[in-house]
Amino acid sequence: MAKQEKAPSTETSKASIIQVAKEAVDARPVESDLPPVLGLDSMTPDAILAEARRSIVGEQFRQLQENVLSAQLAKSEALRIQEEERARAIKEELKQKQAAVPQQPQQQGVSSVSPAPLVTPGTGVLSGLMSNSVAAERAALVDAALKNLESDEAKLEFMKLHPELFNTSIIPFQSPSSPSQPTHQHEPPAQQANPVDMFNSMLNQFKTGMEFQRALAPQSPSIDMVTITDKFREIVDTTNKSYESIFKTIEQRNQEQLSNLNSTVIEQQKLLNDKTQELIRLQIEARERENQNLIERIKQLESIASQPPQIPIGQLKEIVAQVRNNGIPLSIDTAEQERVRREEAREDKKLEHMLSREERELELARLREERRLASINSVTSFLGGVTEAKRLSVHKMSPTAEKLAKVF
Amino acid sequence: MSTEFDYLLAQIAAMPGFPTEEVGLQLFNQYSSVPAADLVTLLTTDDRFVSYHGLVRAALHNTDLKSFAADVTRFLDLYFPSVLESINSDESKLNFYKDLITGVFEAIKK
Repeated sequence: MAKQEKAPSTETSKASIIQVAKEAVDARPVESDLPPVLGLDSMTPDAILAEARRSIVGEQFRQLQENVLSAQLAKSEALRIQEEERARAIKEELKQKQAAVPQQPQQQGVSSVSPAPLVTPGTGVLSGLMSNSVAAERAALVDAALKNLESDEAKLEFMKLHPELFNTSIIPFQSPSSPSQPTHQHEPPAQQANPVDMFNSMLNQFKTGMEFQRALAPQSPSIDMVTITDKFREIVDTTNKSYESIFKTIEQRNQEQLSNLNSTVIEQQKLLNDKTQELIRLQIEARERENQNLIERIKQLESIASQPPQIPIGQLKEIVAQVRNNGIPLSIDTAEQERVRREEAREDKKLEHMLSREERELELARLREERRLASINSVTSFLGGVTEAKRLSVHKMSPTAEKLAKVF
Repeated sequence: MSTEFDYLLAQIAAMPGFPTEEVGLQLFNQYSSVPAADLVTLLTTDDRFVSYHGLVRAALHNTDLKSFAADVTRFLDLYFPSVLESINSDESKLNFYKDLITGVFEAIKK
């Protein structure tokens, strides 16, 4: 029954370990930080485990180890509690037997006086009942020692250092839940009074205890490190297999993603090429339309240039007047009109020249006349001066003048 | 009698704009109140006097103050007799006339 209960717990533990490992691996982003590729074929499971611990899930693996260790500690604690219950049951049984002993004082004195050294199952016929008290004392001792140790690690260390205290192979174990116990506990006192019957009863009890001990041997409460190591190795192997399968899954997923990416890249490149070709085609069409528009524009300009100007006459006259005002000769007349206009302009210039020459001649004539008049005036003045001088020379001074001239 | 100086005086009298006797008397009465020395300075600094100074001085070559004053008096007697009457009737004007003739002659001779 205990094996049947232990097997599912082991399976559950393995499944939980694998689940933890899978969750740890799935929690890592595959695309961003993939673990390095491992050569699993050429590596031992321990190497694979060490590599996995180092590269991928070192932290998770350490947690897994801690979980395994804590599970072992919890298991040892459960066994310790079970041992305490057994010790308590043995004490109760011993009390019941002690209560039954006053009817048989000789035997009670032998069993209670003798101390309880560690005895082997085959040392004597009374070892069945005597070993119960020894086991109770050992259980009490172990219980006290374990209670003094606080941490589970210290308790585990204590179990490693003292495996003999937990080795039940030398203890005639009798579980209170054992089905044979009620027959021995409630044995009638009349049978125990007969030495032969009592011997037979003790022999049967010893045989039953041996059988029960033999049956419970795999359930030894002692901590067997070899078993733990084997189980741990089994867990490690299972974990390695799980990691290997996970790595294969990851590698397969990576290959699938790579192939998907390659296909996507190829599709994108095809799409880009199509878009580029479409763009080039549109650019060529736009250039052709632009060239066509330019050709049509040139044709329109040529047709406009070949046509006579459509500017209104008033506006054209204003433009011509402005151009002429700026000193630029410009004509909008016909050739005959232009020729007539040029002749008229030439005649005008000739007349202007003649007029200016006549003006200069008149100015010269005027200057000559003035000079002649000035000469006449000068001659007249000279003649007047001469006349006046003659008059002055012939003038006879008056008496007043003579008188005044004599003053000097 | 200096013929050359008489000829210059006749030319002055023949020039257009030569004043009449009334205008001459009015000018003489107006300038007679001015000191003779100031009037001589005013005459000798005039542009026309400066331009004709050489000619006038050449015309008065070998001519003394008495001959010069006789020529000027005869000129005044011919063209401005009222001015001579005014000079003879007033001592101050006579002194003014004497100072003026002396100053002009000295200025021409310089």
